[in-house]
Amino acid sequence: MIERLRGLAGGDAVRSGRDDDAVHEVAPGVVVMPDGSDACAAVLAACSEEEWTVEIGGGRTARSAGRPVSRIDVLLSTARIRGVTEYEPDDLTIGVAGGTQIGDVRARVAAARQRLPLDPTSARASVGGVLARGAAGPMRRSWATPRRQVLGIELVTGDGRVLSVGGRVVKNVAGYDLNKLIVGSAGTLGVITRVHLRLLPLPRSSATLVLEGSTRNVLTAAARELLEAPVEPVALELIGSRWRLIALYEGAAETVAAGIDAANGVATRAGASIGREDDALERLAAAEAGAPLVIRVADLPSRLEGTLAIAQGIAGTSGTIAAHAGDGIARVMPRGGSTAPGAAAIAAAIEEARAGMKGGTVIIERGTTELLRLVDPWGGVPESTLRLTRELKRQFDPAGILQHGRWVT
Amino acid sequence: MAGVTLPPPLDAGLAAELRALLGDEGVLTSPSEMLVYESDGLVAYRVPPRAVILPRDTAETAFVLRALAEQRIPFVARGAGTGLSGGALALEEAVVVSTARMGQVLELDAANRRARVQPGVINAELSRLAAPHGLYFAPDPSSQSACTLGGNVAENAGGPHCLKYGVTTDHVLALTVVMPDGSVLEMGGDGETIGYDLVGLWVGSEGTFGIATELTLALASLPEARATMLAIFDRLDDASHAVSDVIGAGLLPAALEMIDQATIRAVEASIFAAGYPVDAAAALVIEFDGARAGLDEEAARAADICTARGAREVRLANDDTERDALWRGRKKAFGALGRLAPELLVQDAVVPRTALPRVLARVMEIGAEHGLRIANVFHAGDGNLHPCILFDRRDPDQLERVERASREMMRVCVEAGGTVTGEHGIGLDKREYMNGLFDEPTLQAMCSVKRVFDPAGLANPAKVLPVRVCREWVGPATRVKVAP
Repeated sequence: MIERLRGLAGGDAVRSGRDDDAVHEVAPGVVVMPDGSDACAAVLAACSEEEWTVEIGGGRTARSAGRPVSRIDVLLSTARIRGVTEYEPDDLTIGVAGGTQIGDVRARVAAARQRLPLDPTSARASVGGVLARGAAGPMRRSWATPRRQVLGIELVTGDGRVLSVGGRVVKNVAGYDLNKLIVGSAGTLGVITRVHLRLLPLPRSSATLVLEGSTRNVLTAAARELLEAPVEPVALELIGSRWRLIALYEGAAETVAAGIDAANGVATRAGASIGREDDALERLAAAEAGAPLVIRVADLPSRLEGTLAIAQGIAGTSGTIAAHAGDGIARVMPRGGSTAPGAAAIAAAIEEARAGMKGGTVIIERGTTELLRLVDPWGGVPESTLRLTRELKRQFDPAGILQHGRWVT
Repeated sequence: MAGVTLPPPLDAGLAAELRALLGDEGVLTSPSEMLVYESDGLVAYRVPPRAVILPRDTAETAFVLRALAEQRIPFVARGAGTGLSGGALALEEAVVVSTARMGQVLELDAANRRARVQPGVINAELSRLAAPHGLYFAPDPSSQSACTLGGNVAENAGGPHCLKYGVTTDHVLALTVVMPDGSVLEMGGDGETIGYDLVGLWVGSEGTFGIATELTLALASLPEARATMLAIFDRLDDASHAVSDVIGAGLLPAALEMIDQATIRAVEASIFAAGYPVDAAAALVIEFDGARAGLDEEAARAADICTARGAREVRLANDDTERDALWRGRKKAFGALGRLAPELLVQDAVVPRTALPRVLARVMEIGAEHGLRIANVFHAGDGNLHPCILFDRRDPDQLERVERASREMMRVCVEAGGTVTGEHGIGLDKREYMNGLFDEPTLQAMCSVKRVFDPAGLANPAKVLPVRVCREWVGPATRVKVAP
């Protein structure tokens, strides 16, 4: 296996798998680091032919997502597929290789007073990985989810075809929007080797305010009021167990000042304290990135209180919660998920939450091996779309090698 | 209509079965009743449909598609027929399934800023109904007073304010769809997506996957205030550089539209005269919206940028009446241009924003080289060009030149790193460009996705993908008749 892959990707691009490559305690047989889409295609074509199962790795910040499997033949890392391939600042778009770390792109565009509208919890995440997961943070309130930012994708399919989907311009309806199919597909359709993305100008000013109230309900009411104000916060996070509401305002100085005024008014009426903490969202991201277990509970924004109650049920007394208050999405970070009794309790709470929800979802974004052996991370694809999901997958990965056994299908 | 061969009628059993369910007014089969369904907004093509069927809801649509599938009869979903790429033409002896009787707003959920509607609801109607709740539907295609939301979803429609708010796909939360075999699927829901983003894949598939019969759409909050200005330029090139400068300066207008001299003159000579100076080479309509606080600051910066680029005058609207007047020239441009020649071909292409000055200049040259009158009115902030070619079809030489000039413009846009359509769709009209835009493996992948949704090839056949790519679509000889 190693020899064949070395012949395709180059001698120094292949090594044996090690314990620190492991996904849910299973180390891959080999690790391949192709240096571009051609080598990637050759490797995947061979893997398909040999039916070697492939795990795709970017920045390795989300490897505990998905179901545990008992065997991984190949870890295909995009670590050597990196760099900015195209950047004309005045177009407000950028082309980057799939393995490029988010932090590197951020640094590059910051020099032109621009920013990348993607906010995964870790800056070490690769661009391809963030898109594969569809991962969005607090800024989804104003940026929407990553699918909005993607203009084009180069994808190497499971059987080694190189596809160029979409384009480089900000508006494009030529052909099917395969970008949307790929974003959020969790690596099940192919390896993202290059992307073109939208950029945004840096805001001229910003301010982060933190409200603290006596109870959670005081703060959910405050959140609702902030969202009704003429100047809406661009991010609004409700975090607990010590409940705090973080509101970020951005824009022209006068706009931010009006936002601060509105927030002060809301805090006064709610009897909540208010203060400025400009690093509050960074600290939240760091806490989430470090949590071994993250469970997402999502439902309509109007049902936020109910969603938080469900989240509390999963968090137990010792866990923490962070919610995108305007979007109805809570992330739960319970403790004790790596012990057998702890995992069993959390699994039971997840199953109970799923059974009790009508249209909402409970997803394990990042799980301990113990927990994921007990409960499915997604709770299954809706029955009616399962056939479509499987057939779409087959068109891109006919041998079924990519993320084998790890995803919903 | 001499020379047009009519498709075979539906067999009597099927027609009777459909009439029993939908009533006589739900099944049109006489040539005179079907005349209006022979073409869409791209009037160059006419194809008589085999029949026109008008279901009233999801269940009826499912019944219709199941019945058609049993006889392997293809179908084309149709909203208001305002599309500009020939997407609603009934090729391959297809039946038209009109959404005209699916015009209900099923639910307006103000708390969650969303609405569930049937596909035949008119775009502007949804915004009108949402306004008392302080909400509106953001995508605003030029045809918004006529076009349907189902059509917007099928085409992934855009509009002037998509610069800030995004195109239709950014506002679709969930869909109920009827597949070509008559089965019904729900895509999207109240929580997060589990599995693939089927909603995102469906939007913009131009009716080739099936028919969406219930749409859950996101509504946006009506802005507290707007600041609208008209910047007037003596040189076209200065205007297009000003567009690039405004975007490059980090301003995010809600809309940034350009109107050139030919368009200004057409507007000013029409009943829609908006007071634009007819000697100007170009004008930009720039609008900012949002909270009142800070809005004037943004607008002032944009005005300064325009002045620095040589704008001879920047007019700021002081109230809604003035704002409407500034917009009138833009919104009524196509109507005004339509008076100048027997026919108006509205092209659609997108280029990177920095390429705009160069490409726009080249588009004008191409017009001149082919002896054609070109007028430009377009979404400059997105780099989305709409060169309008004014011509007379009765002159075969002119028609030939229009086609050559169109191809040349598309080539220039693609070479500049752009695309052949930003919002009108591929339909029938632009299939030939797909080969220049995508490589063979990518076109094949699109075809394989189409087959997953529609293995029998019944949904809007012979659209979007070149026939050569999806060979099995080739059915009976396609009768496309150029209107006399």
